[in-house]
Amino acid sequence: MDATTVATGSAASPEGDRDGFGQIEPAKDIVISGLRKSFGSTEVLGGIDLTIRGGDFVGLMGPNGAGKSTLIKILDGVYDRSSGQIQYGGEAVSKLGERPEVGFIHQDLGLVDELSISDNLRLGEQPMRRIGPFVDRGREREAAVRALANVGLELPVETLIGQLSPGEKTLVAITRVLERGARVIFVDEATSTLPPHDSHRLIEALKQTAARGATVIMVSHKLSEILDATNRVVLLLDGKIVADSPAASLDRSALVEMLVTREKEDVAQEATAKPRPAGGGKELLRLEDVKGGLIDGVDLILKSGEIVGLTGLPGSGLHDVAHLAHGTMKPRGGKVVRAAGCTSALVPPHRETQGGFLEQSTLENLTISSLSRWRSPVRLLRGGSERRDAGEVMDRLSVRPADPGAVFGTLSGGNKQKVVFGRALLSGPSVYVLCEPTRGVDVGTRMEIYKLIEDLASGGAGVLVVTSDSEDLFAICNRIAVVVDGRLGAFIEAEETNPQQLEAFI
Amino acid sequence: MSSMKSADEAPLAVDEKGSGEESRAARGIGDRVLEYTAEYGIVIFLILMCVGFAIWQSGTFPTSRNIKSLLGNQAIPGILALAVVLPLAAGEFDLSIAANLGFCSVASAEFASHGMTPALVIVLTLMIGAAIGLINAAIVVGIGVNAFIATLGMSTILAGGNLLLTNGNTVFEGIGESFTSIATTRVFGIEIVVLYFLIIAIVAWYAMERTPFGRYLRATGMAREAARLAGISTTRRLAGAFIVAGTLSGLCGVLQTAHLGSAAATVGPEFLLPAYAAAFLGATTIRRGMFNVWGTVVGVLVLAVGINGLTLAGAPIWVPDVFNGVALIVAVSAAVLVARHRERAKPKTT
Repeated sequence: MDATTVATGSAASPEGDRDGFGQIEPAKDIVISGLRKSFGSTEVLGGIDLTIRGGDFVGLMGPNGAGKSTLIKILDGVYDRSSGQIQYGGEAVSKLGERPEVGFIHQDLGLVDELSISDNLRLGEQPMRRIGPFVDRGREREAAVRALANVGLELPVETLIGQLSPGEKTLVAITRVLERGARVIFVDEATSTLPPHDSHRLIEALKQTAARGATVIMVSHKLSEILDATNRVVLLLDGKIVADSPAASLDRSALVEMLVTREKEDVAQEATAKPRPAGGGKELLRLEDVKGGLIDGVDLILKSGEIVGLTGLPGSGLHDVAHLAHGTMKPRGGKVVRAAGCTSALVPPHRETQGGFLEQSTLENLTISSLSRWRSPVRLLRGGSERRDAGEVMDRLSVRPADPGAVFGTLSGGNKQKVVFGRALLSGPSVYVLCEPTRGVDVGTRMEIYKLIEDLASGGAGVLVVTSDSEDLFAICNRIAVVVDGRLGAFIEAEETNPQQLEAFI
Repeated sequence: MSSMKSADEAPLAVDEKGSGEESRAARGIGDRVLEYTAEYGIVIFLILMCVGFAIWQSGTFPTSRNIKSLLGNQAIPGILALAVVLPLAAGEFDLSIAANLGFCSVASAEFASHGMTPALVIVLTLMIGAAIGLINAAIVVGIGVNAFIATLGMSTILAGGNLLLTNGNTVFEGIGESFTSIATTRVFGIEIVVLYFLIIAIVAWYAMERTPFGRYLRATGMAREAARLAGISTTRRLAGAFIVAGTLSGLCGVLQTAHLGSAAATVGPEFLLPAYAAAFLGATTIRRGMFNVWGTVVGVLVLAVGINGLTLAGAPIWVPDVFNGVALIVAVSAAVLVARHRERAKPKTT
């Protein structure tokens, strides 16, 4: 909020030390030294030394389970550190989370869907008062409009949060911490669930915020984002910092090499379309002018051995196509035709809420869709063979920890995704409907998932990949189509297009 | 997929018991003892209580007569507590179980007093119990009414039904020994209802822990949307839970009438709270954080022993109610605290 408003306001304003031109006073240095964290006997962070200077834009990268989120959560104060020191402006602190000048944007944004943007911005703050208990809504409104403009969000401040796209929500969350005086912003994998268009907006807003003088630390798996936006890249591997370079001195391949030194060959294939013999197998699934949810008439044929990719913006009805194809949504009109004996399995788009049972073990999460496989004549579960089969899938997908008894909720995001994937594998269907199969997974795992999907297709399955990540489409799909406003555009052969062209369609 | 095994995944220690990260840092014997103490806290409490009462009321509590009567009196509340576990595991409350018991108790008394054979009485009453469960399921699953409200409404309707059937009187005429013997026959000196309780507990445990049914039910209770997308017919599981709970409540009704030899118009409501208290106490032990069969059995015994011991010690009439209420609140608080502790101890890296 700017100086003029403060001056005219009758009540004292809680926030203040920023001038009216959007410039942010640079933050003090954050010095982390010898930071360690263990969960039980497992060391997740093994001595982190990192200095973040005021005004840095740091990209924090690393594979699933490297300790990125743990580091952020320790700095926030969600976890206590096992040992080591954190200094802010030369002063030793136990956490940064409670300081107004440091803001944390977690994957759970902490916004209330039922309230307006401006109410969400004021949430937990003293309302701006007129006289006595009366809230000065006009002044709150003005402040909100100005704050939103700073991140390039042009929406009426009365808009309910529930109506915003995921990217816009993230921008509101960032606006909120900035409004509270944040000069340092930690952003934990904010873009991993966003479609390209939203991602761009968010990255632009972060760049703009950094240009205004703020320190930004961003965790991301997306190489292009990190290279585009940040000025310094820190790479975490097995709880240690293995590289710390200016972004300008890196290019994509150097970064990939740092990330997955062991898997150079695999990654070299990244982003190059991989044409496979076009799916000439028998037809498994056909949608004929199917309507349902946001979808207003879709035709689609999926054949054995074929990988079909669909993409689109949120709100286009993209995921509804997946549910219609899989059968978890009843069509309002049209026909879904399945070949005799055709079964399907679904990897749902939202891992945290739709993926699994947080309190149950990994084993129970893996086998829930195919329990009848291990049922004895008296309907008893044969635990031994269930455990063995689940163990095989866990091996195949390298689920960590490798303990089938591990509680699903304690797994890292990438490992949760593997388990949900493994559940589909175990049920052995003829059609796989995969929503956002690589959401939130690291580059190495992404390559593995691609390979797995290709194996499934060459084994005779039909795969429908429904994704907002265009990299998925070009890496594995034979045919691609875009969902716009509930309708499906024409299918294009994957080799005949490129990401830029496709994004123009979206 | 060997290359996915790159050193990227820090193998995380996973604390299934939710006993916190510190206790795992150095897993000494002391820590493990602490963990088991938390896990089996209620069981230990039960044992301590038995020992305590045996010493304090040495003339009355540890006698075979007292123990037999205690078990005999707890079998029916015990079966009812098991009935509650199923809907709870599926994530819904069924508040009509006690009223269902009451209605079925009165109905079976009416049937018996009209000269029906015990077998026919049992079959008819179980069908009534199941039908009540089915109606609950239709309202909750079919229409989508909040289960709490739907089953609360059902309770009141059934209480009204009792008055309709009995005009507010107690039904006892014509209930002969051939009928009461289905509950009061003694096996090794213990009433046969205790055996029923044990058999139902074993079957329920088997169904919950060793068959797909139990897994589906739990999955439905934990994350209904995730369960549906994983291919589980959550509506059928929920309906099944209500119907089984209704049938078991009906069984409790028949047994209650046979046990007492009569059915009062007001029978039922007093069974509700102990059943929930036992189920919630049970969720704090054996399989912590989950409603489970043996935990519930332990919960039933904790309530029974506590109230029995205090009564023998001459506690006034208000004590049992207070004890049940306190137990329910303590059990739920413990569950909340355990969940919060787990949340904080959750090692999560990305």
